[in-house]
Amino acid sequence: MSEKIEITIDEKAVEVDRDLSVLDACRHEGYSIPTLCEIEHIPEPFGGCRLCLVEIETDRGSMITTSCDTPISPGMKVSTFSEEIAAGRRAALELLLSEHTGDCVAPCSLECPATLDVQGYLAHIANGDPRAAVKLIKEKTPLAISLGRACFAPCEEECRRQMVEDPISIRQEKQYAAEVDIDEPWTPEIPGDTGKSVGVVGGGPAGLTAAYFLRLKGHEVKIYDMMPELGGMMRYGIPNYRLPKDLLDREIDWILDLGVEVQTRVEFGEDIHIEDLKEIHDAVFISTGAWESWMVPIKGKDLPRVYGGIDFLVDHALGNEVDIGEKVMVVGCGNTAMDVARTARRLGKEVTLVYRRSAEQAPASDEEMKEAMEEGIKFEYLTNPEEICGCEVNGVSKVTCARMELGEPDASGRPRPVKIEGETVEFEADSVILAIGQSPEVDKLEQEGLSIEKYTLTVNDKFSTNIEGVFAAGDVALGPCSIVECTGHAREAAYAVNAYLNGGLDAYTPHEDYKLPFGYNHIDEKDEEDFADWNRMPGIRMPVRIPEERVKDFDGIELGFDSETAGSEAERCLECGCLDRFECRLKEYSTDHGAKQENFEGFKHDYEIDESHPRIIRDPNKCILCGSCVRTTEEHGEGVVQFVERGFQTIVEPAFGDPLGDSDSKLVGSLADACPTGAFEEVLPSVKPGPFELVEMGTTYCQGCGLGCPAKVYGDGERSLKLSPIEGHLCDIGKFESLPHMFEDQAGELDDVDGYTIDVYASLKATSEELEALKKLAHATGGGVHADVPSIVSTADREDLLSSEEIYVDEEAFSLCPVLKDLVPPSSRKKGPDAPISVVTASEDVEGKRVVAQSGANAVGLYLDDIRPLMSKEFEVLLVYDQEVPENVDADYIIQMVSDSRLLSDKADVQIPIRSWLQKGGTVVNIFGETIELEPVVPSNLPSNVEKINGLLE
Amino acid sequence: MKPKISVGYASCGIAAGASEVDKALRDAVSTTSMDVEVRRVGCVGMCHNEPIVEVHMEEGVYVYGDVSPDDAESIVRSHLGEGVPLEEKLIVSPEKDYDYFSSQKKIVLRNSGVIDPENIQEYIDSGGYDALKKVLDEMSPQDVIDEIKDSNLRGRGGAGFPTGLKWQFAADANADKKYIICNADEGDPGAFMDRSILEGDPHAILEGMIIGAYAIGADEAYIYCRAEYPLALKRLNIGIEQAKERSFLGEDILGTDFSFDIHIKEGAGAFVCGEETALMHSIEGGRGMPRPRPPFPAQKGLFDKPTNINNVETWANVPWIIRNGADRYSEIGTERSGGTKVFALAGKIKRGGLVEVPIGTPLREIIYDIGGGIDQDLEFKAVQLGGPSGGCLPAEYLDTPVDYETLTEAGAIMGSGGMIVMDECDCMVNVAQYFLDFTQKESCGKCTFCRVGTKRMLEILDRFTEGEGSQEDIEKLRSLAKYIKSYSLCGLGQTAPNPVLTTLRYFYDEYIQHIEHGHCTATVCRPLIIFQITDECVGCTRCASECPADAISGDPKSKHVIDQGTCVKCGACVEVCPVDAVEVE
Repeated sequence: MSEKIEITIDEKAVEVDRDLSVLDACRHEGYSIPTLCEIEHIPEPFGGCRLCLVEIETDRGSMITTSCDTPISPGMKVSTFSEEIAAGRRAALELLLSEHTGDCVAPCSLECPATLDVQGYLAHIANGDPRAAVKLIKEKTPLAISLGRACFAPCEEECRRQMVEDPISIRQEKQYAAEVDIDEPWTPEIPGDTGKSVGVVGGGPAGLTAAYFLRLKGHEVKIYDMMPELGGMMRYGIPNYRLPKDLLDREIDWILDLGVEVQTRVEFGEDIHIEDLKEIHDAVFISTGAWESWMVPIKGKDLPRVYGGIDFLVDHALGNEVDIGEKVMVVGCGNTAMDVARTARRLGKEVTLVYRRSAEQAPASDEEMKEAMEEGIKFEYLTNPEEICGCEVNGVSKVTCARMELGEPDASGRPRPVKIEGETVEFEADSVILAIGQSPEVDKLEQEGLSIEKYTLTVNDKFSTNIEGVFAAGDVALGPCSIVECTGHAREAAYAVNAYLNGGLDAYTPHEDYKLPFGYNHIDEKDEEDFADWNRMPGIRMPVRIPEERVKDFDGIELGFDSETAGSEAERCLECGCLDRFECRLKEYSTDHGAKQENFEGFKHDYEIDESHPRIIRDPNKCILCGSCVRTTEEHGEGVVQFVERGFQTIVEPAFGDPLGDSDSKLVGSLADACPTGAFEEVLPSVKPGPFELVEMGTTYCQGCGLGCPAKVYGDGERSLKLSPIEGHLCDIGKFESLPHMFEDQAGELDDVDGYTIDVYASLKATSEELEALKKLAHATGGGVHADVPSIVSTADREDLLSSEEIYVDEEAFSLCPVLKDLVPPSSRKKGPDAPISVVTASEDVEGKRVVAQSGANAVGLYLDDIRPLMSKEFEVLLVYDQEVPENVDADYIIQMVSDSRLLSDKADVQIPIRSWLQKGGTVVNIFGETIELEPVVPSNLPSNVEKINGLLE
Repeated sequence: MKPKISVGYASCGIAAGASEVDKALRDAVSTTSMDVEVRRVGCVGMCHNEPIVEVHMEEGVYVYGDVSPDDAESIVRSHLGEGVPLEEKLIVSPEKDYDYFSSQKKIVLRNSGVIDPENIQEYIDSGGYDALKKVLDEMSPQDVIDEIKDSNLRGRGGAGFPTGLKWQFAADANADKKYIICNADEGDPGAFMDRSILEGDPHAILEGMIIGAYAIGADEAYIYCRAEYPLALKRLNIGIEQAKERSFLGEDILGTDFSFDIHIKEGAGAFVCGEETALMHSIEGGRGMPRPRPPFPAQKGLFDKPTNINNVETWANVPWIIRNGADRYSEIGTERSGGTKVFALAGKIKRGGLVEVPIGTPLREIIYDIGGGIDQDLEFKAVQLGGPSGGCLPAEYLDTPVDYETLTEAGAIMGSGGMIVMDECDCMVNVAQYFLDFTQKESCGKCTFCRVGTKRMLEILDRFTEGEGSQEDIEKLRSLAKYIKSYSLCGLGQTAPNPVLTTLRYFYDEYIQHIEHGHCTATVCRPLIIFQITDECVGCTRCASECPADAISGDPKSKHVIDQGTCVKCGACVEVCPVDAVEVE
């Protein structure tokens, strides 16, 4: 027990161990101080990153200094935070960022108004797991299906793949995943009721989104809607051929099935008022949308057969007949104009669309314009209606338009259309539909006492209206916008409402992925030249019905992806976002301290990325020279990487700049464990590595060798994807080779083996419990259990090793159990076996105290249980348990029970799946003779292995 | 007394041709029947007069400067043979004083240029190793430490930490083994004090270290000297061998039970290895990278053992102090800092060289009285003190005494003793850029502020010298400098902004000239200057044929013109113009 002294941290007196640094003392007391270069198990501070600044006051004065290398002293006063401290840390971060390259989060996600993790869900699709993709999407929006069909996909506009050739068909990829999910949709769990209720007014994209996220927080939700059915503009604005209503119905039903109440045909401001809602609910959420069409103030606008775009679409959706004659003129070139024109076309009309600017400036998506043209809609660009001619009785007959030309840029940055004097043109028309814009019905909102500004409902930065407890999001607050904008806005607003219901809006701060896009973030500036060497792989668009067919009805026009096409299209993703996005501490601290990359802008290196190692990527452009990797390998005396060069040219790299893949170290994976950024990154074993936000599934003891190192298992909740050390290190056998490849389907039928002698050839990984069951099985049939057990085992334990200053090591032992290096520091390693203790392999029989390295996780357990190698080569029935079928055996019948598909052998007559070591419980004995209890970490549908073995006996 | 001829035979002399002179002298002597000894001695300190030859006669010493091999025969025949000195090369004679010497006070350089450094007997004859004998005969280790404390000797490596106190820490540390290190990793551009001592008087350093080892209880030492100093290394090795032969070093020194051994570790020339923790890491076989302190070397140093590290000049002072007493040493210098300091006087100075003066001597005395003033009698502008980590002081500091405190207050540092004089033709922005470029490249790369911060500062200075800076940049420069000084890991980073900060402080107008007017008054920053041909041009065509960019056109015998778009501003035209018709703005 070391001596304690009293110091003050942030004005609180604490007693701490005398030999601590200020950093460790603060950490022990629960204060968080940023550091990028400290490694917990290496006591000497490195002092490289300079982030751990604190203010220290002693009787010799006060100063701001690094805490990792400052020892505490009695009476010392420590402040862990002040504006000045933060400024120093921020400066350090900004300097690091100034030489850091790469995207934290991919441009597609940054551009997405709902900040969907595009790179993540594309990776899942590429990996053949569309369900996981949908789950990821549903973390951000309940409208996967609708967005998959009708999103205007700003992500695709930012997609870097177009610098190679074409952007990824991101929307259609989403559509594919969402529609795979449709029959058995992934559904989040709803927590217990909070007893609070929210009235959501308006069941469009914003209202449905808010209802979903509020339900996920356990609140009661009731949606009020003026229309006969929910969906808002998704139902009444977007035509069926773009978003088939049967699909929309499925999506809405799925949301409602979470326990959302609905009342339709009830109009806000008419049938129901704020006071009523406030009475019934604890909070009110207004998402009434923007249903009023803008009309231009031109002559003739009040003539019969002049319509607003939205009015026309709503009427059509409701099944109301609208008299538009035969020749229809559509004014405007936005997405609504497209919907109007294409709807009119499907009604068999001759459609001309006029737009006062040129095609380049049109707000409608290129794809929609192309499809509209294919369908025979005539586009008249640089044409602006000046007068709608006709009479009150017969309605519209023609439209006089001015021809325009492009002038200087206007406020929107687009060239201003200027009228060419004297150039007019006349179009015959039976009807005019003005699709130039829409807005909320502000009069009704004002009547309810809600405050209005610029044709929208006023909300503050916490989504609150001027009336307490009344919130708003979507078109009504933003002005008319897209589904994806509404869903993103409403999600965040729902979080604000949740905070309000849970005790106070003050507690609400915007989520990292809202407005502040994902916290600190930077974008790598790239252009076509950067991708000049890439293989061209043209993008795949979904097949659509041919124009001649599709104009005949309102059925959906997109025909879907099959899984193979969806997968290969998703594989084209360039994975712009950093693989370390969810774990990068540089990003985390930069977010916390408001650091800006551009503050100390200057020269950046452009190092080649080293992808020579199968599982570890080395990207020196993301290295912050914290030295953690260098120190972690120096600790083992194997210098996998080291510092070279000086000054700004300093770089960490393998000796002589060799590729990392050439390293014969078994501790390469630990570089990624040590790295606080994405400079060394572990690549998950899949087609696309994500990144995915992995969950900690539990802790276990690695079964990669006989050492049994404690490890944390990370995965997606169902599968394990990554092992990380709990203390010290995990070697590459543990990290990369021993993660099981699941094998779940039995191959072949099990014959009746009754009456035959069954011999067992067991893996050295078999637990003691499995062994018992195997013995029982074999003995009952007159057979025996065999395994390739070692000839000798350790006579020394862990303590013996740790307390010895001179240890003889056979390097072979280190390759069997690399983490033994943790226990035998380079300074203790002696040549020659005359040292008091030896570390050897089973092939080297040494006298005296020894530790015998074994590759089998339970080799010692089997040895102690007197199991011995196979003596005979001929068997009636051989049960090969959890390992490869041996060569040169002659058996009438071979049963292979195996947990890992890599072990499967054709020689087996039947292959029976069993649980892997991450799925099973049981006992093993490690090389130190320590008994280790394994707990199942990964779920499995299979019965326990012991049950399975016992089953064979029956 | 038999006449002696000494040839200044340090690296600087050799570079100036001393070996040829030495050979010519020996040849000349051998053709006569005179009994004359020709010796090779260390650096005399007068770089401006190399090669230097001293003739020691009955009546006194004659010093010749700029001696060529052709002069050798005259010196031997005329001066030694006929008693007629070679007047035109004579700098000092019994009748002729030279204020370059007379204003100096030589303690550290007492033997340099006087004795043959490869001959231990000459060192012993000059009183060498008397101090060691005295220590072993009469003094306890604590007596020695007290003597050093009383002398007010402060570390000459730069920081000026009291040497006696440092020894006390190491002596007080409880350990089975302790080390002594001599930091001979002199890396400042333009500084060569330590090299001269190493080459001119190696035994003074060895003796100082042996005394130090006795005082703190160390039995092993390293001299960390860069491999770029081959002559110093050679003479150190000879010195160590000879000291061992005479039992000043090795087992049971001078019959006592005190044993001590010295190794030499050759450094690869990284500037940061002059930092003590980096230096120790380098001796241990690692990359020269500083580590945080504490623990200080006195607690946990080389191979984790208590270690005392001093630089060359500090060690060379020690035998003198012991032999002459702390009182005599502390009388020299200032109240808080005893003794002398050696400076390497360089730059725009008439008489550059090694200068040793009492601490506290005003700059004016060093630059004007000893150095003879500014070269070509131009205007003094600034003096850079303390190497790349130091600062530039303007004329108003000429009368300030040079001591640790005053310099720190002024924004410079004593450093190891580099002193670079600048005149009106020097651009202070360019000077700051030059020094920062050096420290930036020599950063070990470990800590963020030094590695990236200095690079970003340098980029700003680069912009200034290209006329692309802004006022905002100055603010950024200041704030970066503040952070780098406050939060860098080691001395290199903590002092790297000094040249920038002092030039900003004393020569702010020059920065503004560059930034706001795109003008470099000193016409140094190439992108900002324009070369033009005036009406003086006689059309000789030499500039046009010399121009590497073919930017000059004109018919013979008529005025030539420089095409500004093509001109690469190399200045070749200025050099060749016979009538000074090329104007630089």
